[in-house]
Amino acid sequence: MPVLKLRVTNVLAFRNLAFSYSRNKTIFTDLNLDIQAGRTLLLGPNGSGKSTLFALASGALQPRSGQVLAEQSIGLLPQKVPIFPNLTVEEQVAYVAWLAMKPIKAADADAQRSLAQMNLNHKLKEKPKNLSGGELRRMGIAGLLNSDVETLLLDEPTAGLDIAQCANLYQTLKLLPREHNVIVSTHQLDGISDFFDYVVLLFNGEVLFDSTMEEFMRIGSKKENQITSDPLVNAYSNFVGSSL
Amino acid sequence: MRKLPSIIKYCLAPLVFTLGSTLWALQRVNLDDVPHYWYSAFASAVFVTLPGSIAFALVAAIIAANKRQAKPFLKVSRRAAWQIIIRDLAYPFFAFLVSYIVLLGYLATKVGKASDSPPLLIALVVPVVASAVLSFGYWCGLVFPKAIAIVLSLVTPITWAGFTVASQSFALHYATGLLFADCCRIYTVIDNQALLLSISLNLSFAVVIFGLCLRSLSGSRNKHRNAYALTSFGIITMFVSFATFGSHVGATPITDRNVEALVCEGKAPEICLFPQQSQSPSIERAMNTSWNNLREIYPDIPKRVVGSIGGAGLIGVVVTVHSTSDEVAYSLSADAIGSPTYCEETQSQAALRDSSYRILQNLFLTQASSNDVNLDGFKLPLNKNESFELSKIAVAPTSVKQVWVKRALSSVADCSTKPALE
Repeated sequence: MPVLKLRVTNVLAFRNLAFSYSRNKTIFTDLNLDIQAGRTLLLGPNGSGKSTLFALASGALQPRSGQVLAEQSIGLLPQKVPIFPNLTVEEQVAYVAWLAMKPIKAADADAQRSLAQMNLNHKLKEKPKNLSGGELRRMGIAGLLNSDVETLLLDEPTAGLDIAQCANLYQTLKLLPREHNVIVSTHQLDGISDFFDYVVLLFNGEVLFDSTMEEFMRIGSKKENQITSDPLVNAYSNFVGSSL
Repeated sequence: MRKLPSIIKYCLAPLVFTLGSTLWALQRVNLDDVPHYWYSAFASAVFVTLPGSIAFALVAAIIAANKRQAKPFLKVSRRAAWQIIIRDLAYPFFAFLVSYIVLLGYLATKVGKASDSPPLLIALVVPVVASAVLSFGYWCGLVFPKAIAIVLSLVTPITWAGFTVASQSFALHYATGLLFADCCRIYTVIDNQALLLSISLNLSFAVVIFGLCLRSLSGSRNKHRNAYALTSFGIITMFVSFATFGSHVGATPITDRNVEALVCEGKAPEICLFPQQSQSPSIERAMNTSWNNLREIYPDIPKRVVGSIGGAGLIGVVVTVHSTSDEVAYSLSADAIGSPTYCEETQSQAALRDSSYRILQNLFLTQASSNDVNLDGFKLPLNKNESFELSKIAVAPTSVKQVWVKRALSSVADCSTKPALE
């Protein structure tokens, strides 16, 4: 099923989404979620469905039923950044844009600018194997920027990075123009800055929280993690409580 | 200056290897023997497919192996798989063709003014071989771990190219063999059917393997597609293989040169050459002298000498821009005798017939020699008995020689005539 154009102000929406990898491994049964323009943090423990949601949003996976509605062009940076070892960093960024249907000359011409946006203009002629983990992620993001996508889906971009590298990554992302919508998935709260406008908390394929960053932080600071009879609330409280 | 894209650097090494090894090999053969036919240059340049098959398949495998890690990403990219493959293989394919063109250009400088048309069908062999080996190398790189892909891409194309060159069922055998033809006379051309089969076989492989590459990159979930691909591969391979092995393929005599373009001079002999074959007075003098000398012992020698393939009532001679008087005289002498016919007879009878032929060859070479022409270097080694027979005939009166020569010549072409030694 193709990703449909959204006619509302949200940049991305999921309607009655159902998806399973196999009969015994269902991820979503009836997911409804609107993601607004801006910078959104998709939070959730391992196995909660974050990567699957991104794959469905980018068209890499097809839902069993329901709809994915997209207002803008979407680019996905997988958790494992794709690397073409024979290409230089500059060539790789140009190649990724070409893969996203950008004409070859424009992809080549704009690669340096995109790398400069990610503070990698000193690594143009390097091979990807010589980059650090953080630089590799930034190279991947530069590839998306060069592809002229408006909404960037970054799947666990801070996985394996230390706090300084995380901070560096978010600092760089902050410099991006606001017209780029950024959705970042992660299962860890360490290093999260004031970069985000919204937070979505996913747990076992269900949306537990969907509001602003301020609201999320308010809940965290009040440590509203008392045990209730509602399993979803319990899970949310436990996750937020243990992570903050 | 803008830095060269990495892919171009990947193509330079196989290009240099292919051209270097091919030119090195060509240095070891006498290119002066390549006659001035475009046909020869085009066919001999196909030699480039041997080293090129190894080098470019290896490069394609390495390029694809570098994609292997990112295959999941490529599968969801908006570019079609065929575009990705074409972009990767365009430069190596172009480099493969460049190596052929460079080699062709090099050989063209050796052939002088060619009098025939460029045989484009032969030239078509190289792009289809290039397509097949590049697709195969690329597929290996996509599917197998890098080390295995490299070994497979090295071994398989050279085995295939070697097989097609060694086997008489394939046009490449004749194409590369033309370079080493006997005394380098192009007296045969490659059967067009053999060329077409070679092209269709390699093209079929290229198409099927390209399909497998597409499938590997597009990641279709259609479970039947594997079965379809394998079945198609089997059918195409069987069909083309049967067509190849079941057909008459190989070299056929040249028949399509425009003999009306021959320019004739003299009466006995009447020497007819193509305009580009006119060499120097010494060549024509050598032909005249040798012909007249031979006529003394062979009064019925054909009066017409042509710079083309001989035939009934004709002597065909090899004359190229590089020919010497000796070579032309040898060619005249050899064609006056003709090629021996294979006869169903006992081994001792066949040995006698062969002795008669060899003695006749050397007698003619002695007779055709003159102050300007020395044909000793072309003489065949004779055993003691043969040498004795030759010396007897050599000192015999001319009338005796004529009788002996008539019988010996007849026994070369006619199995019912007994050899002149009995």
